[in-house]
Amino acid sequence: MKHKKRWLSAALLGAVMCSLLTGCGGGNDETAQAETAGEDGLTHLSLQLSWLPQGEFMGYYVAQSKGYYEDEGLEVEILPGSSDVSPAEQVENGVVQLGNGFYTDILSYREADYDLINVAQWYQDSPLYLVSKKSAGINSPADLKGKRIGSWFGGQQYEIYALLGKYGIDRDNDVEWVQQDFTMDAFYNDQLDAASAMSYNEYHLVLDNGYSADDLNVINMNDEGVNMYEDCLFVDREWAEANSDTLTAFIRATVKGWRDACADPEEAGQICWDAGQSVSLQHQIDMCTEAAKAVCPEDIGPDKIGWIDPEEAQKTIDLGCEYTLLNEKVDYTESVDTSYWEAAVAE
Amino acid sequence: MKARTQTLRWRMLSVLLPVAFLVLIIALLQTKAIHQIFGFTTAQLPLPTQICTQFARNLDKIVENGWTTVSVALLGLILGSFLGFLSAAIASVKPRIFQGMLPLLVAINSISVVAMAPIMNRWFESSFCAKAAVVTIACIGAMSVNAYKGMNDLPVFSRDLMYSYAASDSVQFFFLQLPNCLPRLFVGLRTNVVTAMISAIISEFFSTESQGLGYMIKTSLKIGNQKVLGWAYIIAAAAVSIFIYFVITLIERRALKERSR
Repeated sequence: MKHKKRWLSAALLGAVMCSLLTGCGGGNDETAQAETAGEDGLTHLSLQLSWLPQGEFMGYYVAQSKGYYEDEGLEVEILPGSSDVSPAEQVENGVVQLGNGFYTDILSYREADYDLINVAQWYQDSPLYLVSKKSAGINSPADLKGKRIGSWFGGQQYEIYALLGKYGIDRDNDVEWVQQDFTMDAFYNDQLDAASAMSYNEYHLVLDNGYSADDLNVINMNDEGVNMYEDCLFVDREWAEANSDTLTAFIRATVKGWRDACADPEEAGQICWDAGQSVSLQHQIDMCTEAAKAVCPEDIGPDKIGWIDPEEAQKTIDLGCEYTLLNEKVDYTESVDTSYWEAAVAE
Repeated sequence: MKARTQTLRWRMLSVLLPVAFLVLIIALLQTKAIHQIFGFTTAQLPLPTQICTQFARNLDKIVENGWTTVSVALLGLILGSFLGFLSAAIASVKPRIFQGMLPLLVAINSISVVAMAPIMNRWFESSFCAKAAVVTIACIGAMSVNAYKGMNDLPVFSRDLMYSYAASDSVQFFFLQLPNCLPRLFVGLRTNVVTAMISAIISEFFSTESQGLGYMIKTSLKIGNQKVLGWAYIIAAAAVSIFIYFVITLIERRALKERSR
């Protein structure tokens, strides 16, 4: 009798656990449905960012704070990210409808059968720098041979692989790799020679820390022609097809946000600082100023914010294939759909 | 005779049951039964065959990174266990000290590796030392408490017997307390194997060095099309832990047998 009871309770416990876990399952089997407006007349959307609320994402925050989303009948919740939250997973699992992340990241997830598409490319230029102290003697990328190079290894390393490849440096044997955390301490403490730094973030941290631009050597990926597409807006393809009007409205409002932000980075910095105080107000403003340069470079201009350049997109894939990010050389059109952006900026 | 066949049967069962359970889990994974129940895609939870393929394809790298982690874990395990043992020994000779030390030990034990690893990175220039330091600190507590218990949970009247011999503190320590704590010592060691591997792997998440199982797990799981490789490294980490645990159990059996003779 006693035994029977024990078995029974074990079986019950098992059943409860199973039903609980099934409820938590992350599957996204259901076909995408159109989002509908709530009682307040607004359609609720959530957006997963790839990092903290900072100037990197100023377009969204400016659109939010200026009410551009509401004007489009949207209520948008902007979820800050961290290094351990993958926007691609969040979108795939249906936790959020919209994701912000690197185009390179989307390409890599596509190889794992996630049908995600880039619908607006915010960063036209790569903001990634390799920064070194003058004393390290890295005056050109060729000097990286034999040096210690830092990366966060969150997908940002492939541009550096491409850079090394361009200069014939063997990334497995000719250099030493250092894992960077999200401070620049390893750089200050000479635990590495060349550190990864985003033009809008870490580079300014270094400048704020008492280094002047004259003390530093900076390698710019765009100048070297090994730039790859970074932050973009992406969604699940099926969801996009079922919600084309909503998505277009969101892009329209966000493009407006980016335009305002690029025109007035100081105001954008204040807005970002109101959204998150992970860095100082001045740093937020600096971030916005630098981000504006990459989102809205002079040769592209404010009318084309969010534009996906076919050549750049294909170049990202080609470089990705050459440098172990991707296994298959595909046509960029498979992972990109510009129609929503085109509709959004048509007027 | 009957008793012997029965123990033999138990022994066989104790091996067969876990193996059968493992096979069942693998079968459930391979047939995607678990995927069906929880609604996972194979991208979220790769099939055993996929993981094995990646494992085989990257074997040399897995061995190389595995060794990095094991060397850190073993060094930390030895250092931490030694320090824990030492503190227990001091405390057994001077019990008052133990009472003062206990809160400190609890405090040290409750610092999570996630908090300790970045701090150690700033303290030590070499990332190997930083990682080993994290493991060392994580291993002190369990060994200290276990060794102390072993040294002081003595057979009834054994202290009195020693007293009647007029045995000095050191004689008592070396001939009564030390042998008595041997089984507990192994309990501490076995606990620490798992602690050491986990803390070595987690501190690799934060390390500046771009090597080790923890580093590989972290970076592969971050790249969309390399997740299966991440799983292969997770399996490797588990296998290594089990192997070291097994070795310590073997030594334990040997040592305790010698002692009972």
